Order: sequence, then structure tokens, then C-alpha cells
Amino acid sequence: MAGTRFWDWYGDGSTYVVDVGLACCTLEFEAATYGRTPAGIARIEDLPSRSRVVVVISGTVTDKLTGPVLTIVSRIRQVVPAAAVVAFGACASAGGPYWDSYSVTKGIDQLVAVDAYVPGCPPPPDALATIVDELSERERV
Amino acid sequence: MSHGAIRLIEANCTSCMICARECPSWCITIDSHTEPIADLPPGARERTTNVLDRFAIDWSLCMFCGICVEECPFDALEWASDPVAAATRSGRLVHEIEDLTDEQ
Amino acid sequence: MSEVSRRVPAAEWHDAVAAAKAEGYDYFDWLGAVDQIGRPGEFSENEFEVMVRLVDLETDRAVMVRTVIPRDAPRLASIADLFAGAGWHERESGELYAIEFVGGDPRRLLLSDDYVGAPLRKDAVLAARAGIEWPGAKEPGGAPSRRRMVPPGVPEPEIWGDRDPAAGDPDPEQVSESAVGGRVRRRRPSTGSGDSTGSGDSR
Repeated sequence: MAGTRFWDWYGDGSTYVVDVGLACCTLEFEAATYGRTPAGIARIEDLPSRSRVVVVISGTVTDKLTGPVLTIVSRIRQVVPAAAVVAFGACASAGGPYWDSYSVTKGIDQLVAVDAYVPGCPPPPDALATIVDELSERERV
Repeated sequence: MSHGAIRLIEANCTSCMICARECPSWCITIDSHTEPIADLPPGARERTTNVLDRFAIDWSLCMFCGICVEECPFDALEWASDPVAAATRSGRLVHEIEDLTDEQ
Repeated sequence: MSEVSRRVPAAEWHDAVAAAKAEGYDYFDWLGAVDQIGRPGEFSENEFEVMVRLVDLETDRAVMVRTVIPRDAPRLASIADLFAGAGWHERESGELYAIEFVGGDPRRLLLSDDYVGAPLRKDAVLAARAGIEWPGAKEPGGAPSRRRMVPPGVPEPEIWGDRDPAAGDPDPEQVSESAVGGRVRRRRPSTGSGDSTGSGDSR
């Protein structure tokens, strides 16, 4: 799937973070990547299977996009079964302010197992850095 | 303001329901009951007051628009400086009175 | 940028857009529709308004060409042959209002193929709101409510949610009007007789 761009989050090959950018929250994800290293991984299947992977779902999960989002997550979990999924922002967590829409899935956890829910509309970039640190069991520097 | 959490000042809340009614995301839940006011002067008619039982905000729905803060006639809601922390279970994003009065 | 409005009959829609393009309004900005059900004034009963904004970039002027089509026979000529960019806008308005743009691309753009309905019609009820209890329906102090609290976007139960089966289908205008009613709704007369302006406070 073209366009899945992985970040070597700590620059040491230990943790790869990828954004499924669906809506506004993806801009905060981008801000959280400033100063970080792109991983240079062209395909999901090229992920080192022993690495830690965090898949960040940023933004509103519309019914129409549930197929592609599920495909991305399941392909990643095939290569790295322990890949963590983070629902970033209110929409990915529970539908957010669009919970009542005719075309929105009320949170990505309706479809995949979620390891962390980050509230916010949008959350600040710092909130993403904190949760990746926690999932990597690292102390905040 | 930069999307810090919303803090509840419990002593100011009269359970008027305005914030819950104005919230566009329907993320505020309030339960209350009435109690008679004690220590009235002799011969005064009975009066009651609202007692707040439950005030909860579901942060997984909140879009931080601040309408509740603006609409509260009693200044019982205010912006805090820190954002709401992440949780490993979505249920933990529903904050009750104790969490909301502690929001930093 | 200055903008003028041109109202044309639906039968002249394609010609009016072609004429505007020939006059120099040759940049397609957007095309959209509005459900004007129940709106008095310039609209008769039950119409969709369709409008397209075209811009003359060289002279910095714009024109909004507008027309109305009946809600129960919503068809309009496609202008995608004049402006290719209008194709997606017609697909979007077409699927959201169930308007047929004759000669255009009938495929859905944003809605899933299995979605049933025209969600931007004002009588399309936001079922999620009607289906769950509104936190604002409670009264301060927990008293049982003497008024009827119904949230914005939800029609009164006797119109849509809890309608007497013997009453037949609700009139779309009643549904749309009910859904934009205020939070405090008066109890309506038991049949559809009388005026339907009793929507309570506009709060």
C-alpha cells in the first residue's frame, strides 16, 4: 500500500511508528515527528519482525475507510503480531464529536484491538510522544 | 487556550443542567437530587436545594469547544492547563467528579 | 470579489451555465444543493435549490447561478460536459440528496455502496441521536419533567420515533420541522390537523 511511511522514532531502529492519517489529528502526528528520522521502509512486509511497532490511527474513522484501515493494521500485525494500535484523538477513540454521523464508525476499537486511547480534539503532539514512550517503556527524557 | 482539560469546581455547581444541554457532543452526564434546606427560621416554608450526585465528562467524545465553560452561569467549569491523559481502556476516559476537580 | 446571483428555471439550467461560461465565467468554483423543505418566502412547497458558483478570474467577478427543482422529482441536467470539475460535486450532491443529474456520472462518491438513504435531506433523521438518551433531558434536581425535553436533531416521538402505526407515514415536512425544533416541544394536537408551528422555544 503506497504511502505508509514509517518513522524510526528514536533513531535507533528499536521502534517504528506509522500514522494512518484520516483527518485533522494527523497534523498533530506530523508535528510530533519533527526532528525524528524517517525509517526508509518501503513496504509493510519489510518491517523487521522483532521491532516494536506502533500504529497510530489519527482522525475520524468513516465507514467507507474501514476496509483500508483494517487492511493496514492486519498486514502490519501479520509481520509484527505485537504491534500496538493507538487511537489518537476523540474520533479514533469513540467517534468524537461525529459519533452521531450517518457515516462514522464510533471509534477504531469497533474493528481492531486498541492498546491506548489518547483524548483530545486534537491531542497535542506531546501526548503522542508520551504514549509512544509509555508503550516502549521508556522514561521521558 | 490550547486544549487543556476542563476542570469542575464542585462547590459552584447547582446541577442546573445547562452545560449538559448545550454540549454539542452530548459528553456531559449529570445526576442530581433535591434536599430540603436545614436551619430555616421558624415558620418559614420548606425550601429545597439541588445536590449534585454525578458529574461526568466522556473525554473520548469531547471536542474541547468550551461551550460548557462559557455557558455555565455559576463559573463551575474552567479551563485547566494540562491535557487529559491517555488511557489503556476507553472506559477510563470517562472522568467523574473526583477526576474533574483534580484536572490540572 | 463581486458576485451576482442569477435565478433560472430548471429547464434552462444547462443553457444558463453555458451562457455564463461564454461570458467569461469560465472557472468552476463549486456546485451544491440545499433542501428548502418547509421554507417560506422565495420557495414554494418542497423544493431543492441547486446552485453553482462560477468565477471570471480575469476580472475578479463571480456569478452564482441558482435554480429550484421539486423534491419529489429531483432531476437536473448535468453540467459536467461544460466543466469537468463539476462531476464530483454532482456525484456528491446527487448521493446526499438523491438528486439525479441527467447525463452525469451516477456513481456514489463519498457514501458506501450499501448505504441506504439521502442523509442531507432535512427529513433524514440522525438516528444515532434519536436512539440514545440525551443527557440533557434530565431536570435539575432529578425531578420528573413536566416539559418535554427533546434534543436538537431529534423529531418528536409521535412524529418519528414512537409513531402510532395507524397514523401512516409522517409528512417529510413535519419530520424536518420537528427535527429543528427547540429543546422544549409543545405537545401537538393528536392528528395532523391545524398548523404545525408549535415547535416550542427556539432555544
